[in-house]
Amino acid sequence: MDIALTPQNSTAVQDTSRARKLQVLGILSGFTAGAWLGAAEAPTKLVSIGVSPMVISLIMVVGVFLARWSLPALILGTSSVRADVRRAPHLIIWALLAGCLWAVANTLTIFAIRDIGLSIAFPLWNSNSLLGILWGFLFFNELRQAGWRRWAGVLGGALVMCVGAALLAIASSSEAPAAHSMRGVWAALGAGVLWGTMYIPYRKAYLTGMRE
Amino acid sequence: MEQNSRTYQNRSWITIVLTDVHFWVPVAVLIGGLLLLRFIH
Repeated sequence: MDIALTPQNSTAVQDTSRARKLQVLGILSGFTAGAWLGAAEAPTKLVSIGVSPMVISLIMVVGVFLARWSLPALILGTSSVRADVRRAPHLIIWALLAGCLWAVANTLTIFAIRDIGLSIAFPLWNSNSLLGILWGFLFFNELRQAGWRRWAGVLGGALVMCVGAALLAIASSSEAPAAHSMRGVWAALGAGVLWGTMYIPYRKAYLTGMRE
Repeated sequence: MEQNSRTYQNRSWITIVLTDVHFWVPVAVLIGGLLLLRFIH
């Protein structure tokens, strides 16, 4: 049986196609962010030659400001930012909150790297993904209508991350500096909690008027 | 999403933010993180 291509059908097909493209874009963005964030942690090894963690964190924040704000503002101008702020001033609060969480978490990661090394600290603070899933479920009703396939994907992915983190930690535990190791573990887990919670203001900003 | 945006336009946005659990949970976590940082430092 042929289905006539009415304007409603056509719109539905376009919506589905757009949603699929956005989903693929989201997945690619996630992978890219992971790769970039992973690479961004490399300079934090400066801590092993005695540079203060606070100084390294400050330099990283300056780098973020230059890359994410100053240079784009110089090239593209600030009119779109000013328009966003005028249209939805509450976005400033969510942005500041997310920025504070990011900066404190970033500083904690440097202490963690100093005390337990990058190979153990990195998997530990990546627990932030699990917390992100929890906050999404609790606060934003995500996954409530999801079928068993989606749940299996999310829980399976979480399980793989946990097993991977545990294996990495076990494999590299013999290389860890012994002094202050518990302090490093707490710092890495704290960074994970802060980064996992940073997704709340992100999500809130999207839901309350931030443009894509 | 539309409803959320409209709510922000109709009421004072500061009131809405300050009475929102999505604001206070990150604030509580941030304070915890700062305390942890102080303890570690």
